[in-house]
Amino acid sequence: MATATLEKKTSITQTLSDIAEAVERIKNDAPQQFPEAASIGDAVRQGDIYIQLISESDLDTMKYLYNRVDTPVLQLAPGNTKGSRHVLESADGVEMYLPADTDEAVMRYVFAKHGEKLPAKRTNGQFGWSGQYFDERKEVEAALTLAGPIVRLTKPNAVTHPEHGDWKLPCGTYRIVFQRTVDEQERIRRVLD
Amino acid sequence: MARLTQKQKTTVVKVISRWAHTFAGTRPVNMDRIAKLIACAYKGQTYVERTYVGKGEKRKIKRRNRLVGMPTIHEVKSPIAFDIAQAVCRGYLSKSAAENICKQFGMDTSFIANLRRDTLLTIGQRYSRYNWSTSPLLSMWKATIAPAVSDAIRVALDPPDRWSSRNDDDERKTPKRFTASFDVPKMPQNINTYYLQNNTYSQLTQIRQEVRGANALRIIGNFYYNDPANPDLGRLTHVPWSSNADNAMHDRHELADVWGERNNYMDAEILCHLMSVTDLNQTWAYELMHEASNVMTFNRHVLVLADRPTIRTNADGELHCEDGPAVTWADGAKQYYVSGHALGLLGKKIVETPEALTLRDIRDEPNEEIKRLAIEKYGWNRYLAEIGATVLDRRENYVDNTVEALVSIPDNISRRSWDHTRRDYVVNEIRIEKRKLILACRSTGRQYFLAVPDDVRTCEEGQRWMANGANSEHVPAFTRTMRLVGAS
Repeated sequence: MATATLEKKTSITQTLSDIAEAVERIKNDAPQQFPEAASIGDAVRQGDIYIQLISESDLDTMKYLYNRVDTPVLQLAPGNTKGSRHVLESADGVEMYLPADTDEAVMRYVFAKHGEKLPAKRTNGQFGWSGQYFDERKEVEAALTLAGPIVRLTKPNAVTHPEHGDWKLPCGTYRIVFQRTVDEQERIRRVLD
Repeated sequence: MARLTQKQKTTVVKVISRWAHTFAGTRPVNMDRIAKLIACAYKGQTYVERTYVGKGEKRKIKRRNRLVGMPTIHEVKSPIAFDIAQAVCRGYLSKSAAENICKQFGMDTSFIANLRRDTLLTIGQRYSRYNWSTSPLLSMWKATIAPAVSDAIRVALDPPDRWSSRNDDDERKTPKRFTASFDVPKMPQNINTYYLQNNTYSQLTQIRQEVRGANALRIIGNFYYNDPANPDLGRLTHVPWSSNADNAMHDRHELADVWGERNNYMDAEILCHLMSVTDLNQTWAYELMHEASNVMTFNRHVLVLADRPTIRTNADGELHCEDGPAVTWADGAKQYYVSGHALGLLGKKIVETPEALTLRDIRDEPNEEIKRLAIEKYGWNRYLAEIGATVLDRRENYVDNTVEALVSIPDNISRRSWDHTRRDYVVNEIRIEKRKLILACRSTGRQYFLAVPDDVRTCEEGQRWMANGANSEHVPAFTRTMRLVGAS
């Protein structure tokens, strides 16, 4: 038993030491280039956000879920902490689409996907028989809570951060996704820093 | 867009420079001038006095316009004191509860004694007053020099994070070229970072409005307090923010509106200078915002926050102090920062008394950066040993070029389940093995401790789970698994 405890301690201590040693060797916040030859689906991570290359045609399939904004908001992650400051270097050549934040938008998407019309609203403003496609709607809503903006770059740009290395992005359409974790109440949420 | 004359440019530069100094906190507090400006604001203001006439079914409300007199000015010394004072004046908090809350923050309570319950007063909407938002000059302003002025403001005050371009004019897209021709004074570095991180009152309310369903007790700016379970503190965080409160609130940060597209007090000041309007009865609104950062108006009282905190920064201009609060207000309220990271509830423990940190403190902290700092102070080895962590998996992450580990931590949790025998829900304590990833950031070298679901078996599985939160089989574009090719 004492040996097992000693082995367990050694293992934790050794692991921590290896982690620290490995990162000290390569620690580097120099700007990096998103590969020009990247395929659709490839992504890079900057801290707690992922920048994924998607197809231009994907936007057309996400009608109702994303809305184009006239003036792009350069900060890609919400929040006013230092860790949230993932910021596009320039608004030049940027088309930005923000995820819809209403249940109605998700309903419209799901019903349209099934080729059905949205149920009529009752006098109290609620949709009639809102139980239809409930599971599918809830899953889409859950996905949207961790989805950041979609940016279509017609000119090369960069995502900057005060602590993590910058990522230079070539022209293309990118989706921002937030890293998730589990809190103490076993709820899934975005990583907060 | 109209071109500016030299006189107009000189006026714009002068006004922007003045606002730059206001934001930078170089202006000393002048309560006499504030009182004078408040007198101008309240001059001729009326409020509706309601009296009840009659009894029973014949009871009626009689309304009468009454002139407000000169209000009593209550000066507070910190944003949290302002928050407490407005809750008392609006009737949501008793004075004893307010004193209790001040003790939580280690603050002086002398400002509470003179506070009185009162009705919010909206100021500045009488037709005879110059009203910026409804003046006929507004259309002319917007059509002519407003865009040029807005760009000059943005360039000078350097708010890069939220600056957005307009697509209809090349000059607006190239701020550097514009600056060179406009000769706008350069602000102190990181001024807007400081402003954001300084948690003025607008940040207190903004944060509270934005967060839904989160633990509101934690959302009191970044002010350290002793007992988060204090019920009075809970009452403070649930004080509603009505449209009346919005109208009665004058906030420098919001009204200067550095990042917005709409007209702001800087535009008003420039226009008044160009038109040679100097009467304080016309210009009190923006003059007051130069002198005080927050003002809330009531029928007979007015709350004023004009004081500036003492701040400590690092070489990069970030709020930072390793042996005490980085931001200290005159009434004792404190805020702790390390390298620009606001530490909130655990600030004092992390910075001043790390020996007081407990496992529960670290476990309950939702912010990963603060958690990381707390674990570092506690000691990684010590922390992992005390929570009983065992290594389940470790690997070299070839995307990050770092080493990471998945650990298992035994824990007891309460789970609610349906008991068919009792035909009721019962709460059982069950033992589970929680999974956490120990990761290192390749940019900063910092180690983090991130939770993943209990069924995760390997580091790779954990990383994949963390990255694919926005996936859904019901949305074609969301079905692609995240294929990481790089990290920073």
